[in-house]
Amino acid sequence: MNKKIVYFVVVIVLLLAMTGYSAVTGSVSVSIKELIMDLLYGGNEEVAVIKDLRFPRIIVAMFAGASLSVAGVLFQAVMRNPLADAGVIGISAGASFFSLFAMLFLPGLFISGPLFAFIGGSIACLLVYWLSWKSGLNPLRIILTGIAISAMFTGLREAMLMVCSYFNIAVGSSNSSNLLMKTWADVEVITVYGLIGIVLACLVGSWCNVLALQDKKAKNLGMNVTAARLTISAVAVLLAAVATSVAGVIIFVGLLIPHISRQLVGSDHRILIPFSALAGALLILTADTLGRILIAPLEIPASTIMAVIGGPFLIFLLRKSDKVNGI
Amino acid sequence: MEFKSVNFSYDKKSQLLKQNTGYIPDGKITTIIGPNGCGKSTLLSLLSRENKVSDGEITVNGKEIFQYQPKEFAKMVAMVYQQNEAPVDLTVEQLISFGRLPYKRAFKNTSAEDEEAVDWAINITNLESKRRRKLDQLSGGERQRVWIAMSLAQKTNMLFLDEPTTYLDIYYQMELLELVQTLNIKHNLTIVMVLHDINQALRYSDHLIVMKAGQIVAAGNPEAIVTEDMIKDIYGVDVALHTNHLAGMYLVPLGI
Repeated sequence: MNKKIVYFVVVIVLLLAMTGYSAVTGSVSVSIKELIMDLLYGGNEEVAVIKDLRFPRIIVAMFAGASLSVAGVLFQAVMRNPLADAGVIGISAGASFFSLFAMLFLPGLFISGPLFAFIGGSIACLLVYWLSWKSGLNPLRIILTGIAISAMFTGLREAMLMVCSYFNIAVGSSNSSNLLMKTWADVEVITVYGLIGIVLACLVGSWCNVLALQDKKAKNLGMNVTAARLTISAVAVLLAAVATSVAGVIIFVGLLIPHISRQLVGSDHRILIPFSALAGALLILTADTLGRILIAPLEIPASTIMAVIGGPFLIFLLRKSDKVNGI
Repeated sequence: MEFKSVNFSYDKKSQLLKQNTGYIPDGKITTIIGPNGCGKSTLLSLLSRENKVSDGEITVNGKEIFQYQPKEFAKMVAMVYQQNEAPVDLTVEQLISFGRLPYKRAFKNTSAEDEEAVDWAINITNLESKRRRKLDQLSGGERQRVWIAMSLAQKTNMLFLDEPTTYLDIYYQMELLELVQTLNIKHNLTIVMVLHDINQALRYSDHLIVMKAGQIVAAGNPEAIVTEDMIKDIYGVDVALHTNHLAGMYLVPLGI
């Protein structure tokens, strides 16, 4: 138990340190002291730039990481599959395609982005369930179906983007899957829905624990398995959709973080979910910060860094996946 | 528990169970036997509400089983499966306390009653020394006892076991069946199990249900219904039936 508290403290300290480092480093850089002085008294122009441009980016990165990690934990619990990740199984692609759709045809609505992302994510999720359910969920079949769904929505999205560029329709910033040009409005969306999602996820954590037993056992213990599965999936889709609609598609976070977190704090979802949220925030913030400074002034999107780290990691997990569920 | 003209099929085409009628006597050990694919585990899955009958009705205390709330039913019938899954990092005690789920209310912590039930289940299954161990540190026999303990923590009147002795060596098989017998005699649990070994079924059951091709062909006291002809008819195996003053009735397969 003590070990788990240590891990929590370590991740929180690292997250705070990374936030500070990320805030002061980059094309406009100030010292920590200047930053704090300005936050207290105001008046520094460089810090004003940082507040307008970099702070939103940091917050969006953290919430995107946290949301996608928790979504990963939930998908893995509900599909009983350690390889399920919103990016891998096509939820993000569905959300991304639908939020682009909303941006083109219903640009006026503030809510339309996240809402359509949620609808798109839900459609992708239902498709994955429907197409891979054969008297139970086979882990590999989910991944294969998910990859197909993901490819389909990515293709549709690209086709739509091409049509747009042909007709010279400008598509807003969130067509690219990076964290450039985030505003305080984006922050508002992702913090509100992200927090709602994470709190809901913590509430359904004990259901996730029961689902780790077999469905029939959960049923025998008096649980309404179908209702639990639907609820948990909906929360997971919400989290993935919000992150995608604001920060774009970032693949593999939901795979990497839950796996590492499980090694550190165990498989009890009541602890695993908050821990994954913190660790995911740390990972994406780190990836984004590195992307900003590695080859400045050029930037590597966080999603690119994640894809490079995540690809080998997925292969590693696939190779040992027969052991993951044990017993 | 009673069931009347129960039919079941996963799809409309193949009928797995056809017109089965029977009962589970209270406070007794009932064993369902029959060749592979005869539908014995399917019958058990219907009685435990895992699957729903296509036709017919199953009642407990005169009430159709699906009329009960899920949690209410989970306080009456507990099921131990042949194969089970759980996260490897849970301790025996944590796993067994899942059995208290039907009694849990949202946002309520473990009650004294829960702890008592878990302790009782650990005690009966003789897992006291293992309660802080992880599941993957246990032997196959101990693991099976953990799953039984989880079901016992449910504090039900009825305990169902689907082929509980498969995968165990003969010592653990005996240990398990003795445990089942103790639960029946000392704690008055109604037991329903599916067994492959006819001799074990003869030795431990009060009531035998014999199935073939989706239908119950005989039911009743083992000594009264089991004959050499009947075994030949059901399994296609020639056997010799004997009686031993220690073992009671037993059979020896002779050939096919």
